[in-house]
Amino acid sequence: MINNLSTRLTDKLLSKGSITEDERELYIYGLFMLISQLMYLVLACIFGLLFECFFESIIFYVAFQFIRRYAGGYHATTETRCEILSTLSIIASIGIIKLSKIYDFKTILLFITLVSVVLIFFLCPLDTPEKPLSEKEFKYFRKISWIILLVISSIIIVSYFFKFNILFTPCCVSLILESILLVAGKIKRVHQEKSVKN
Amino acid sequence: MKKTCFNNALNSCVKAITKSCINSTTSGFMFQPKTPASLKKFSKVENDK
Repeated sequence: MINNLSTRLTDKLLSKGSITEDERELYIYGLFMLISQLMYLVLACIFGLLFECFFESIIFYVAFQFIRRYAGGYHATTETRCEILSTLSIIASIGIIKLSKIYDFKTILLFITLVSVVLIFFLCPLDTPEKPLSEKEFKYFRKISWIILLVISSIIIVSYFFKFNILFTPCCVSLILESILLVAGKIKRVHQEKSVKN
Repeated sequence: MKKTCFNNALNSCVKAITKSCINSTTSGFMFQPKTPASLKKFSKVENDK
């Protein structure tokens, strides 16, 4: 859906002479990224409003985007599967944020987040065959992922002790979701490597 | 005039987002489109001497 839309928009710009043929590929890629980011941000806002936790949803989305972009992880094979999985994971995450407002399970959340931090620390960054990383990039993105992980973890610890729930739960959920995606991505890669060997 | 402004804004937006995406491990969502080889010119790490 988004890919078709970005291709159509690019071709429209090309036919009007706003861009050159050389820029076509760049525009399709760039527009895909732009529309996707806007779409999922809007989705997070809508579900945030529906679940009555608008600010927490935005904090979750921003924190998740930061760690996700550098740590990487699981990617769906098709765009449709991505749209379904992304929407479901946003709903599930905002659902947990909503539940944390009703029930007090902060200590459990903190413990699961601790496990997630360890997983992210060792598994990041996990690239994809569509965008493989060079050795230099791998080292660079690992460092950035660790810095972001440290920043989010510090926010979680401070907000836990000072009871800033508006920051605590969204940051925890973003790290938990990222660790799940990293583990899923790692399993997928090992499985693919085994299939190639056989 | 309006169209030129819109095109310029879109152009800047697309270039900025492409640069930012090429300088990250993956996209922020669960689908990573194949990255065009020509975009490697935007990679800070690769072009850093």
